[in-house]
Amino acid sequence: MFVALLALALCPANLRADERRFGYTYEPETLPKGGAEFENWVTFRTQRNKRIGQQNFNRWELRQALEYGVNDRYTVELYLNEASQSYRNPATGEDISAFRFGGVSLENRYMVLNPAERAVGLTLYLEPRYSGDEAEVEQKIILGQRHGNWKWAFNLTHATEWSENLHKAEGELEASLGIARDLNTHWSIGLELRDHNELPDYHKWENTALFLGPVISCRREKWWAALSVLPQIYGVNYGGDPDGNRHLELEGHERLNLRLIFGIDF
Amino acid sequence: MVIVLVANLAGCQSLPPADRIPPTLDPAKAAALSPDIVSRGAKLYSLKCARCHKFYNPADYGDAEWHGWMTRMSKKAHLESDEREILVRYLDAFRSEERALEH
Repeated sequence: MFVALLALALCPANLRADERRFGYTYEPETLPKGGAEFENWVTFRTQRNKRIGQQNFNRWELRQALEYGVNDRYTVELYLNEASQSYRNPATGEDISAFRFGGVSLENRYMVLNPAERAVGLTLYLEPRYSGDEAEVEQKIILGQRHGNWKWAFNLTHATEWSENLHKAEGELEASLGIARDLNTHWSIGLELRDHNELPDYHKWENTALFLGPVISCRREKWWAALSVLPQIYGVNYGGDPDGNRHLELEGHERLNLRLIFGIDF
Repeated sequence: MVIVLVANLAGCQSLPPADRIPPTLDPAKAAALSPDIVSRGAKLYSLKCARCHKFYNPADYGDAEWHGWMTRMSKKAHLESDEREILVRYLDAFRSEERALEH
């Protein structure tokens, strides 16, 4: 992660193609046929509260991915997922930490409408994930376009996760919007807005959390990096107020989410 | 919902933002390209180049600099040799069109 941050800081020049401008929001462009890329993702989720029994909560989610352009419209990406989580149980004073392998994912993105040919680009996304005792299938509708030095993208996401030896199912719904401006051919800055919702067993809408924050990205000839810093600005737990916070949702979400993605073209 | 969205967007005839597409090329003025090459070049440009960046007018660059950019971008876009040849001829036509206009 340090290398990726250093690269972001030292990023000089070059315009490029499929590099991302947003940490959470996908853009409709796919890799060209034969294009290949390695990506490293680091997501940091921090700060819940002691009311829900997770004081000093920190969660790191890591992903290493290989992306390949099968043709000019269809891109696949294979990745490994890992997560490390730690918190203090305020009732006992015990520090709890765990590292877990989150399984293998196969991401599929198909560009239905090329933003270079249409008013809006549209890409469909399907990602199954499997780790042995857990499985997940995620779908996205990805929209976006560039207007001069400005770029926007909008995603609608649905995911179903099966856990506890695939006996328990939980649904997730998410909408995210990113807007960025190219400062020059190398740097972009922007904003990302993300609303994440959890639906355990699809029987109830448990919570919603809204995040808003800045994103910065850099592109060079052979690599690129994007960093999103998203504090939670509003959240509700519809099942009561387990976290004791009327304005944020801290049982299933955190006060702050950060994501750094680093990509290398080859 | 996805089917409705795709159908509506696909049926929409509106064009992408102007800076993503190159200006219309007149083959008669530009290095005598066949309409087929102009058509294929424009399509390739849209698929391989415009998906990533705005139109950079080749006429704004010197020969060596433009050749350098074409070499680098061809690698980035993973162009096949025949695709590169068509794109080079198509984009070079903008340079010769400018020269034709100057005379």
